[in-house]
Parts: sequence; C-alpha cells; structure tokens
Amino acid sequence: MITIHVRHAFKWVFILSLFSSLSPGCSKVEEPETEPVEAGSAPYNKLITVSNFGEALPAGSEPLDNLSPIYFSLENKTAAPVEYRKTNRWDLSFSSTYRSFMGGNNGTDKNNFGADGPGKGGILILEKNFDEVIDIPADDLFKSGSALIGTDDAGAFGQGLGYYIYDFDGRIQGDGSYDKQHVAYVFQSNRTIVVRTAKGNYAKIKMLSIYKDLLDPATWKRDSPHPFFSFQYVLAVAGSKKFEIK
Amino acid sequence: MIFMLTILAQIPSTGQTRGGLKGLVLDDQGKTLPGATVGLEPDRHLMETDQRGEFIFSKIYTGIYTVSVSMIGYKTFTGKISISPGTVTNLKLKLERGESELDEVVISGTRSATGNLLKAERSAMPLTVISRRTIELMGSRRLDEVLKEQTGVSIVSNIGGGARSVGLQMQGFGSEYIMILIDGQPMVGRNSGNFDLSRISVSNIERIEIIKGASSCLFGSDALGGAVNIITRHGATQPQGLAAFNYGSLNITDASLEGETPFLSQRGSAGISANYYRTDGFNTNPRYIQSGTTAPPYDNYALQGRFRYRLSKNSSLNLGARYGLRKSFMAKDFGLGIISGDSQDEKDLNLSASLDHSFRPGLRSMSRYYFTYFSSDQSVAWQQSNTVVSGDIFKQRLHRFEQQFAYAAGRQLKLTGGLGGSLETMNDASLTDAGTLSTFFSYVQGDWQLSKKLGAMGGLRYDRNNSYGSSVNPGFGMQYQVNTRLSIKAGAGTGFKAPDFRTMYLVFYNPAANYLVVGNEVLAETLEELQEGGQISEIRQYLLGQLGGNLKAERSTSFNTGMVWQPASAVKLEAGLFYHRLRNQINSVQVATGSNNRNIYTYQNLPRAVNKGIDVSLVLSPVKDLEVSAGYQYLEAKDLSIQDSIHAGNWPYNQNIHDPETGSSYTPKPSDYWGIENRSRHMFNLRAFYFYRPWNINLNIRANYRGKYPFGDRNGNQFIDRYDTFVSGYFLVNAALEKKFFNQHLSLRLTADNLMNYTDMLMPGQPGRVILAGITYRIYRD
Amino acid sequence: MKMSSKNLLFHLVILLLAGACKKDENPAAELQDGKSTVILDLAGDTEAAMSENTPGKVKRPFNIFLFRFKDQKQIWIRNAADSAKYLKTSEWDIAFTGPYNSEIYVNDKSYPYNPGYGGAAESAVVLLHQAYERVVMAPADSEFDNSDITKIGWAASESSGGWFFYSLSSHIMQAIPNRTYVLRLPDGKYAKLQLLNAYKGNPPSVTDLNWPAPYLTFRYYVQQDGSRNLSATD
Repeated sequence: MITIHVRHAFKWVFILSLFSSLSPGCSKVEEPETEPVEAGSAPYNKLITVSNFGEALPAGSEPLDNLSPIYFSLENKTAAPVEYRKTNRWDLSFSSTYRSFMGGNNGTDKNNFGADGPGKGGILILEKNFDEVIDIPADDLFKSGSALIGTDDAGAFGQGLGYYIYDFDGRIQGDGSYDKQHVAYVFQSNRTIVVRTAKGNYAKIKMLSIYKDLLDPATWKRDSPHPFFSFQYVLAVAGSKKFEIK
Repeated sequence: MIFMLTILAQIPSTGQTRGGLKGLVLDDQGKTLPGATVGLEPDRHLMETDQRGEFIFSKIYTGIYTVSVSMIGYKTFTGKISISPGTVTNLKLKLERGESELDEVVISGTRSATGNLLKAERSAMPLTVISRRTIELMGSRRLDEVLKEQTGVSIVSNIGGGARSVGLQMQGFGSEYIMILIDGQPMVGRNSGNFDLSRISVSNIERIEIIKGASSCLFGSDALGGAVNIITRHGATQPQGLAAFNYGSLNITDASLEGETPFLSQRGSAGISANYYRTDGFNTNPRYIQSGTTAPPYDNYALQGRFRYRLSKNSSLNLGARYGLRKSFMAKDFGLGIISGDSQDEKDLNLSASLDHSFRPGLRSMSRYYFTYFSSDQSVAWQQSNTVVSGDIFKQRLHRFEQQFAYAAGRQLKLTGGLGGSLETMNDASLTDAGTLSTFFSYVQGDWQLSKKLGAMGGLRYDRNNSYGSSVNPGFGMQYQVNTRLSIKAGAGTGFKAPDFRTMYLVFYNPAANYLVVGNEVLAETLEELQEGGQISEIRQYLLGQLGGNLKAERSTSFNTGMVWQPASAVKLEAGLFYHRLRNQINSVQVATGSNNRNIYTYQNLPRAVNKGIDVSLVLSPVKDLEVSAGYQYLEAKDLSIQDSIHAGNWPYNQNIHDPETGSSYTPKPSDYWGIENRSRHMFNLRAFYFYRPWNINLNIRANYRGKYPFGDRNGNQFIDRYDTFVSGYFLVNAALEKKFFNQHLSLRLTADNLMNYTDMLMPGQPGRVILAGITYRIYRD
Repeated sequence: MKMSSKNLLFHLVILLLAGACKKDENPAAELQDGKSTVILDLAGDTEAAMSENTPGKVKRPFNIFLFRFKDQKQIWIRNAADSAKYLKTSEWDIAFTGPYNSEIYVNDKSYPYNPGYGGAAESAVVLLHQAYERVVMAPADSEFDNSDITKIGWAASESSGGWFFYSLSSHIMQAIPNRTYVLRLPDGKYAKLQLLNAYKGNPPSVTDLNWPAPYLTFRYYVQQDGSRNLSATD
C-alpha cells in the first residue's frame, strides 16, 4: 500500500491512500460458496453475515482494472463474476472511489451496470437503526442507478446521506494524527441500506466495515487493508411488507 | 545648404516706421519659381510668389525678421533680414531640391531666444521637431493629438492614471518618465504619474521639440524616457489677432481668440490668448455600460498672456501667465441599477518671470522664476455600496528658480551652465502624509565643434532630492558629418527617478476602467480595510509578501545612435537604434481582485528592465507638391529578471504556462515571456501631404498603426505570455483639408479623425470617428 | 524614385481595410445569451490547499464564500464573526464550500450540513440532464419537494447529482456537460444555474495539476416575474 504524498494542487489524497493494489487473492471468503449457484440459495428472514467481501474473488470476477466495479449476489451470498453483469445473478455493485459506492441491479436504467439486463433492483438508504427498519419502503422510493450510496455529508466529499464518513484530516473521529487521516468510518448505527434484489426480493443491510478483519472503529487506520466489505443483511421475499428475523 | 542671397538696391518707400521687402525666388535650375511660400516671422506674414517668381511685402514694421521660403520638394530656406524704415529691401534667392519645411526646421545661425539657453538640438539624444505649420495642417487641436502621430510615440492609458489622463509612451517608457516642459520649464499636475496632455491647446504653440531617451542631464529626474518641450509664440512686431472656431462630432467646440501687439516703439510686446474647448465624451464599451461614457465630457477654459520688455540694449524681461480650468462630470450605468458618478474640476495656473542679460558678446545670463499651481477636485460616488469611493482634492504647488549662463569661448566651444532649486508641495485628502519635496540642481553642458565634420557634446548634472539623496548624471554625444549626404549621431546618458508621493501613499480609484491603485507604503492596511468591508475577492499573498514598502528609486542608462541619409534630393532616410537599461523600474502590478472583478494594483520595482529597438523614418517627395513620409518603430520592452527566473526555474515562474482556450499546459521557456504591459512591438505611421494647386487646397492623410500590446496577466503565471489578454493592433486614419482665402487671412478647415471609426473597450480614451469643421481668421495689416 | 499617387492610394486602402477588422477578444462571448449573468473566474480561496508543500499555498481548510444572484456579491466567511453575521440570513443564494470551493449548496435551512441550516431561507434544487440553453421551463413543485440533492459537488458516478467528475488517473476536475440546476428560491422565483469550471480561464479541459484554481466560472438566470419560464433568449 502506497500513500502518495501530494505536492500539487487538487490531488485527492484519500482516493490514493485508501486504494489497494489488487492482486489475485489467495485466502478464501469465510463462507465458501464456490459451486455454480441457483437462485435463492441464501435463506430468507435470517441474519446473514458477510465478511471481507472484496477478497478472494472467484475466477472471472477479478476486475478488468483497478477501478472496475465488483458485484455481490445477496440472494446467493457470493461474489458474482463480471460476466454476470447483464443477468440477475447479482444484487449489489461496489464501484467508484475505493469501490465504496453501492448500487442495485436494474436493467432499465442506462446508468446501471446491469443495464439491458433483467434486473429489477434498486437501492436506498435510511437514517435508522438496522433493527428499527421493519417496514419495507414503497417501490417507487428505490433508486435505480449505480454508485449511489457511499460517503456521507458529515465527512469530506459527502454525497448526501451515506453509509460512511470519510475523515480526510483525521480530526472528525480521531486526533488528526497520520494514522487517523483518510479513514472511512462506516456508521455503526442510524444507517440502514435497503435493496430490492435483481429478482424483486428485498434485503436490508447494515454495513460494518471496509477494513479487512477489523470491525472496531477504534482499530481502523489509514493503512489498514481495504476495501474488504463486511456487512450483515436480512432477505425478505417479494410481496412481503416487513423485514422479519424468524 | 547653398543659397544665393543678393540684396539689390534699397528703394525708398513711404512712411518712416515701416519698410518693405520684395524679391525673386529661383529654383535649382535658375528658373523662376512661382507658388513658393515666403514667410516672415514674427508677425507671420505669408505670401506666395507670383507667376514671375516674385513677391512683395510692403508696409511692414521695421525690425529684424526671420524670412523663410518654402516649397514642397525643395529645401526650405531661412535667414535673417533687417527691415529699415523707409526702404524696401530686395532679395533674390535660389532654392535647392530637398525635403521641405514640414518635418523639421533647421535654422542656420543661433535660434532666437526661447526662454532657455540650453540647446535642445545639441542633446545627445535624437530630436524631433514639429513645426507650427505642420500642426496647422494636421488640424490637431490638442497636444496629445499632435504627439501621437509621431514615429515611436504613442498615447496610452496607463494604469496609474484616470480615464481623463492620456499619457505618452516613447521608446517603451511610460509617461511618468517623460518630462513635459513649456519653454524649458516643467509642467506640474501629474495625476497619478500621468500628465494630461489633452489639457493643452495647440493654438499658441510655435514649435514642439521631442527628445527621446534619457535626458536627466538636461532636464532632471523625470526625464528618463525623454522630454517634450513646447515652445510658445513670442514677440510680435506688429499688432495682430486671430479668431478661430471649430465644431463637429461629439459636439466638440473649440474657439480661440488671440491678439498681440508691440508697444513703446518695439521695446515691448504683449500678447493674450483665450481658448474654450468642450466635448461630450464617448463610450467605447456600449455593451456593458448602458448609458454614460468611458471617456468623460468636459469643458476646458484656457487663458494665456505673455509680456516682453526690453529693459536696455542688453537685457530683456519676459513675463508669462497661463490659467486653465477644466470641469467634467461623468456618469456611468452598468445596467444593473448601479450608477457611478464621477466629477473632476482641475485648475492649473503657471506664472513665470525671466530676466535675460547679455554681459558682453559671448556671455549671456538668464534668471528665471517659475510658479505652478495645480488643483484637482475629484469625487467618485459608487452607489452600490453607498459610499464615496474616492474623494480626492489634490493640490500641487511648485516654486522653481534657475540661473543659467551661456558662454561662447571662440567659435568652436560653447558652454552652458546653471543651478537652481525647486520646492514642491502636495496636499491631497487621500494621502496620509502631506509632504514637501525640495530639490537642488546644477548642471553644465559643453558643445564643441571639434572639426568641420565632427561635433561633440558633454554634460553633467547634479540633483539633490530631500528624500532620495543625490545623483550625478552625465551625458555624452557626438555628431559626425560623413559627407554632404550622410551624418551620424550617437549619444549616451543616465537618468534617475525617485518615487513620488503618489506611488508611495495614494489610494486611487478609476471608475471608468474599474480598478484601484494602492500606494506601496499603505498597501497592507488598505487591503485589510477593504477586506473588512467585504470588498475583496482574492489577495495574491505571494506578491503581498514580496512588496510592502521600500520602493527604490529608478536608475537608467540610455544609448542612442542614429543616422540621417539623403541619397537623393527628394529622399531622406533617418534610422536609429536605442537601448535603455533600467534598474528598479517602478511598474504597476495586480496584487488583489476586488468584488465585481475590480482589479487592485500596487507598485513594484522591476529589477532589470530593458527597452530596446530601432526606429526608421523615410520622407519622399515623389512628385511636385506631394510629400510622403513613413515611420516605423520596433520595440522590445522586457524585464530581464523574469527571463532569468524562468530560466532558473524559480517559483512562481516555473509554473506551467496554461492556454485557457485548449486547456493545454507546458513548461515555460524564457522565450515565452512576451514583455512588459502596454508596450507594442510594432508601430508604424504613413503620411501624405499634398498641395493641390488649381484649387489652392492643402490636404493630408495620415495612417497610424499600433501593434498589439499586453493588457494584463490572464492565466495567472505572473508574467505576460501569449495567452494573456492583449489589446489588438489597430489602425487609426486621420485626414484634414485646408483652404486659404483673402491673401492668407482666412482659412477653412475640415478635419476627420479616426475615419475608420475604430474603438475598443480596452481603450476607453479612444473615440470613434470625429469630424470637425473650422474657420480661422487672422487679423493684421497687409 | 517615382511612385504614382494612384499606387500609393491603393496601398493605403489595403492597409486601412486590413486594420478595420478586429476580433472580439471577449472570452465569455460564447457563454453570453443576453439575459443570463455570466461570472467568469470568480476567485475562490486560492490560498488554501489540500496538502502540504503546495507552492504558494497553505494547507488549511478552505474558507467558504456565499454568493448573491441579484448583485453578484461575494461574501467571504473567514471566522466566527462572519458566520454569525451572514450564514443564517437570506443575504445569499448559493454557497461555495468544500475543497476548492467546489461543493455548492443552495441556501436552505432544513439540511444540517447546509451553511444556511437553521436560518431564514428555504430553497430547493433539481438537476436536469439538459443543456443550459434548452432548459426553458422549471419543473413542477413536486419535483422540487422530492429532490434529494443536498450538495452539488463531486459526482461519484453518472447517477450522482454533482457537477464534475474527478478523474482518478489525472486528478483533475472535469465539468460534466449538459447539467443544469434549476432552483426554487425562497421568494418563490425560479432560476437556472450552470456550473462550468473551477480552473482559471475556463479551459475546456486541463492536464496540469497546478492550473490556477479555484476560479469559479458559472452562469445563471433568475426569472424575475415569478413564472416558470426560464428561457433566456428572445
């Protein structure tokens, strides 16, 4: 990981410092799902935990270059290779800066990575605790674009309501020291992402961290390996009105 | 010049106080020359030779006259003649082919006393003379109009001046460096360093001498770039008067009344002249300024008197007074409901007295005292912020005394020397410290005719200034007549200029071009005050850190060399090279941007600036009665320290050059530096003067080209490069037509300036097409 | 040397004609439509920088400035006194905040990160993916009420409401074409706004990281008669 010291005007350091040079990963996703998937192999109405998504991507899902998006299927709890882009075999895209911006899979929006595919998905973010999100929002509230939800206005370069605060100077959550600069603080409360999957089912997501194996905000440092997304989610079938954990 | 002057028999005539002059003019072939103009000065008697080449002046007052005979295509003849009472002097003379009077009057023998013993034509620097006749033919009414048509002279709106002031630029030097003198005495009233030449009417001017290049030796510290000496008319030997009226575009009205008369049997003469001039002003920026003008309307009143009395055979007394009043008001509406009102009243009073005494042949003394008072009451209200942005009552007083001696040691050597002092006070409501400036000076100049062909000149001047110490400035020159057709001149000199009160203390706002100029000493506190008032958009901190007090005095060294070549009788070519090296040139620089994109300037020293170039002028007389002249100047004005910094890669000059049109950037090279603001690389003029004999009409057409020049740094790299804002090069074409009637008493004139109606919003002082018709009547006894 | 006067006249005329034509050097000429106000190179906080060792600049937070449409007044907020005096008022229409003053807020009291939070004004803004000249009508009120644009700045992707992309390879801001913001101002009037550039001289694109910045270029038109008509040409 190289942090490039900026000498010139208008270099956005945070992008460089958080960026990790990807190499084919050798360690495995914690819950291996390597065989070809069928729809809906992840259980509905159960709390599912994903750790370190972004690492050990299956063959074929490695991005073409460092900036390409990566895809995750909530329904199958697995990374989706790039070839699946125009299918409904993925539900979340992670793209743009640090790959930290999330979007759903929607074939009708030309700005969506799944454009021209069958996806019916969408994404939105609520300023509520994960446990308090019970009612599934109305369909017309979901947004169909990509790279929509990422930084929050409470930090630098905010895009409105987001799931993490980007602490450029290290002074928002830290003491401004070198290690605490350029850290992305995922909200530990009061933020819930709701996704309509490519097939039309629903999921609510609580983002936990973008740093590998580190879930405690106090441990997050500038050079901690990232982005490796850890999050929890609950699926609900299309037609339901509520998220329930049974 | 070869002439034949034969005084034939003296024929008795009637009247005891008058005599007559008659004669015959021949051309170079010995044939009679009809249509030649014969003039007698003073008194301005003019006559043309008839079909037989003869002329006669009868009943003219006795005295000593300068007679000049001119004809387009021939060298003008001048000489002195004495008219005795009761006799008619008879002249016969032969003219030589060559260029005529219009460009230069070269008088053999001593120039008549003009109030200054220093000989301008003996200066080491190139000299251009504009005769009165040329001014008349051009139809020019104000001094700036006459000057800007000369090769290498341009009229600029310098940053430091207001919309009203037009300043000169010569050989790359701005108007702060050019001294304006009347009969050898400096004119005061420089508004922010610019001298408003449009204040001076040309109706009373006899001759204008323009000296280019450092003349501190002759004229002191304000003459780094040169000097313009305006010689006024004097000494009538018969009563005469003049009434003139011009009217035309922009409701320009120009009316003059003059009269002079001798008295006490020619022991004295007195003259008075009055002039009224008004203009509506004009708007060169109609797109952004909805109503109002960029160049202001004004009314100008001028009154002048001159008195001369011969106290004894060897001494005479000269008194002069000049009063001018200019009132102007300018309203500008930017179309946003913001109107700025700008009024300025200027009063200008000059009084002079000089005593001229000849101790014995070869030794003369002149003592003079000079007083000038200039007051300008200027207030600008900027409605938007409900404040008076600049209210300025500026008063300037100068007392000057000078004692000169001229001594001729034999025929080869002439010495002139003198000493003097001046006391100048400036009180200005905007200046934080009213101050006085006192100077003491002394000089000596020697003129040595080493041989028939070679003349040399040297001079030395000492100046002492109460705030900037003292300085000694030498000057040298030589003139070599290679053969009858070719002569060479070369000179070198140094100059010195102390920063004045304005560059140090004054805060000055120019509403016409929306900028503010802040004196160096008060820069930090003024910017802070503006920032508190929410009037600042951006401050260039890097520059601010470098400036702040301690403006140094400027010093310059000049070299000039030139030649005059006359390969054929109808062709004359003059060419010159100049090189001026300035240390610590004071230049204005943008230090901040105010609200609504108002530029805020202050002054800085440019460590090592160079102005260099060549100028060439050619005069031809291709056919009879037609004279064509062309002039060209090439100028490079650069700050060498910028070039060196680019070369060395010092910040900020190592930043890339940016082209805002394409977005591309690249590393700068020293050759990317274009030069100093407001200086054009190329200037060109072309003139034709034609006398159409069948109708007795004089007409001329003049075209002036000024090449593009930089206006300001647009891409923010602190020096002028090709991507910055430039004022485009342009042509101005002027023409004039004159017809005389009734034996030269009455003349009708039609003048058209800027025929192509060229204007540019970056040149707020340049009006569009102006057409004037005028009539002049001379009253005198034939 | 004999030159006929006709020849001379001919040459003179050629010279005159050549000099009579003049280019219009006004750089904002193509942005002008006669009604819109075009602001060129308005200086932002040119002294601040994001990082150490930027020559001529100091690493410190960027001072924000407020802007008022009616008289183009720029109000700097440099300290607590300035904040107290201006932020919670209706004295401004848009604010330029964030790095290089590139993040614009419309004066709205309801959003916590808006400089006008808790103040007097209520504005709303929608983004239309249309060229500025082609926006002739302000959308319906429901669009404004449902708009989720809080800040107009960096666009993380095509779907974002921002006005520029930040290129990761060259670290240069690139304004996105065909984005026009329509504002509903606190007094009920409608305005359209286009943000053009943060680099001095409004270049079409920039390759040099040290291009002088921020100098904001933008244009706007406020419909004074209160209608939705935003056509700025006649």
